[in-house]
Amino acid sequence: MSAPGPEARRGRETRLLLATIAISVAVLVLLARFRFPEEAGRFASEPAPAPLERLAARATYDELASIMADLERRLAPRLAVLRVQPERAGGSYAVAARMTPDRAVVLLASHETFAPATPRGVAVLARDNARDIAVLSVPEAADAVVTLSVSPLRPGPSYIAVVEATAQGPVIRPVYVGRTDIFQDPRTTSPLLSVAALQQILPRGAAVFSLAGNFLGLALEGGTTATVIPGDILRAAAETARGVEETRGDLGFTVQPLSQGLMQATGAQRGVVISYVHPRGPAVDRVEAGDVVTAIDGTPVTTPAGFQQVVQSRPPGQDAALDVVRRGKRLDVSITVRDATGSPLPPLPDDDPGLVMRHVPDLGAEIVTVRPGGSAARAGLLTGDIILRVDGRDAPSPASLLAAYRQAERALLLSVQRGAEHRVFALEK
Amino acid sequence: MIRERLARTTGLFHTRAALGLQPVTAPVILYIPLGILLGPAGIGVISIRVLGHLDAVISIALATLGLFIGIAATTEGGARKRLLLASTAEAGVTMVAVGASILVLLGLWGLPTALPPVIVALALGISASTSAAPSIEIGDERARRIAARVADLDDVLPILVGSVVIAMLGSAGMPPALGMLATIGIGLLVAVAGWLLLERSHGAERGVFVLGTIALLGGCAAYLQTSPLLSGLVAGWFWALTSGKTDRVVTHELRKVQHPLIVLLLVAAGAGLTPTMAGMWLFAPYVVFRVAGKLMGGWAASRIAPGIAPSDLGAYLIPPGVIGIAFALNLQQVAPGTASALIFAVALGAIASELLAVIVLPDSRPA
Repeated sequence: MSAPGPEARRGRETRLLLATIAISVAVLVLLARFRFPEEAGRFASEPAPAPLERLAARATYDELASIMADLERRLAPRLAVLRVQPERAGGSYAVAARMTPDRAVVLLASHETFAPATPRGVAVLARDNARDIAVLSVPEAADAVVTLSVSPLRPGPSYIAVVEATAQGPVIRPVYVGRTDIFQDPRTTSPLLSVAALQQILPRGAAVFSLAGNFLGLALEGGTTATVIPGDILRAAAETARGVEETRGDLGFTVQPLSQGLMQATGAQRGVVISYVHPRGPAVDRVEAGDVVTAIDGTPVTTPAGFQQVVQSRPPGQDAALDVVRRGKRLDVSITVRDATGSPLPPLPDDDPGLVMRHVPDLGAEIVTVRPGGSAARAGLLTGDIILRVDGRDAPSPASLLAAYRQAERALLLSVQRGAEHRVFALEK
Repeated sequence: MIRERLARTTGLFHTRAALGLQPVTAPVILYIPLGILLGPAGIGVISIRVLGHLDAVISIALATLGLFIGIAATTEGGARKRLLLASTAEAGVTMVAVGASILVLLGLWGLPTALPPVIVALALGISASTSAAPSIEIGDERARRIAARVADLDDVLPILVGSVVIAMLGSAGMPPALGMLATIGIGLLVAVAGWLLLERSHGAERGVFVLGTIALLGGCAAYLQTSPLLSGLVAGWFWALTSGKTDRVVTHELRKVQHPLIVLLLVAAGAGLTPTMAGMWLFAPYVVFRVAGKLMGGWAASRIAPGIAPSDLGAYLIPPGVIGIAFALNLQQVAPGTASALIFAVALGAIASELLAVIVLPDSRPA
């Protein structure tokens, strides 16, 4: 057999090339005839999709399931599930994310604690009651730290992975996010993330991750539009926790909203009005009732809740610069923040539930003040509640209520009207 | 005739000379199915947790592959530039052919994919454009040698373009340009450090330094979610261009670990395969367009470097090698879960391409 010449060889190459190109074009034309069904715009009245369409429709879920399985494998060592007390609306478990080799963060409200069955080696290192962040010390594991997302979610529709806590451990699920926004919140120096996940609920305390496994943060306020504390804030909290059990700043005065009438009277257009200055607090001789606080350390305050959160997030011992409006004039006031939790409060006598009340004829006793540390505060009674029935007696007077409390052996049952609602509380002794 | 057919059949199980792997059992055909068998979908010896622990080793294996390509791409003789140009053109033609065809199909199909269709098409084009040296001992010796060299050089463009894709998807939140700079910076920094160490090292310490260097290359790239292939390529390039013995020392030392690393790469790729509908749909066009792209690219390359590249170069380059799978694995690392369809199509496509290479043979007789 003789070897072919260059011409014969070129002819073979050309034929092979042309044949391959022809096959490719044919394949392209053939495959281009298929169409995968669009997810949007399909109605129940449509006929059942063809087998090919059914398979195609599954593809998105297959991909998502694969991503979730992969994320679960990667994230499980970086997360812990802890049981909290009292039970939350969505369950009694919280997700803790390990931010450093020996510290984790979890969302824990000031009235919440961990159940006694907390895993060994896990302890609360510090609590930030203004933002409900608790820093935990956990057994060291250098290779199990969550990776933070350097840039937050891009605006526009996307999927995120949400990790919820259950008795069986962390459960991960994809959530379709229709919109994300960044907004400034007085509780934090960095902006927070607002995530609108329509028709799906992000539970409070859930850990939020990108599909790439980067930690986005913890859901501060749950719901279909959730607020997420970004991971960098949480890591900063974990890294700077000093081992103090609990800190809560206080300026020594209370505030109320600025109404239209108060605006005209005080000359301020926004802010909160000082309603009471504690006589032995740090604000004495610096502010007075009727002053309007418009900003603290440059952070505008517009509501009493926002004011509380800003103040509570300030470390005790530092000076806070207040922008104050007094009778139409602007003042700069500096007040040293004190530790509210460490403030000495006179202990209440055993037979005092810590209530100041006034009599409402034919109705009962209206609570004027709830003193901290008393059984009324522990029970959750609030100023403005009206006690309608005590120990089988309707429309009790304040005196009869206190007498019934003194005579009660263990607890006293109260029927209370709060706004339009009716509730029952137990005053424990 | 029977001997020739037997040679063709057994040739299927022989790998190419690419990356210095002289005839051993064809890795793609054996180890990907082995990975599927041992993986979570098979008997479960390689569990999902084990696969997670293998991530760091995979990064190191990717950096090692990049190193070999970098060193190979600069140790050419006099016709280096023309052959590099021809190889790049061949890879470019294949990339465009596969990428454009897949993009057209994805656009027409409306196939739901986790990654944007442009990225999927580009990634498939990148994986398809890599090739390995001829697997079958047919054709004249010189043509096979040149084809093996082209198969090494045509990995450079896919690694460069692939690094851009990795920088866009990963880079730990960095802008893509910064991600690329970080990738190249890591390669250069580690290369300088390795060069300073290895030029003055002797005996057994060389092995330790080389292993430490590739661990640093792979580890840094994994941490920053950049491309270890490009970091390795840059380091290999640097060592080959600088005076001294570092490139030879590294090549010598890495020959001891390259086979296990490639086996690990392929077994991990097989074990991590998740059959998805998108992957099934992409598999067949990937194979068909890749073969067409390779033949067209080979045709173009033989015209750019006439007298150097064999005229039937494309037929030599149909076997896919491991770089394409390595890139898909890298993509899987920086965008976990989202690249499962892609890696499925590329891995099965690699096996199918190896089988097709037995049918589409280069001319067996010398010119």
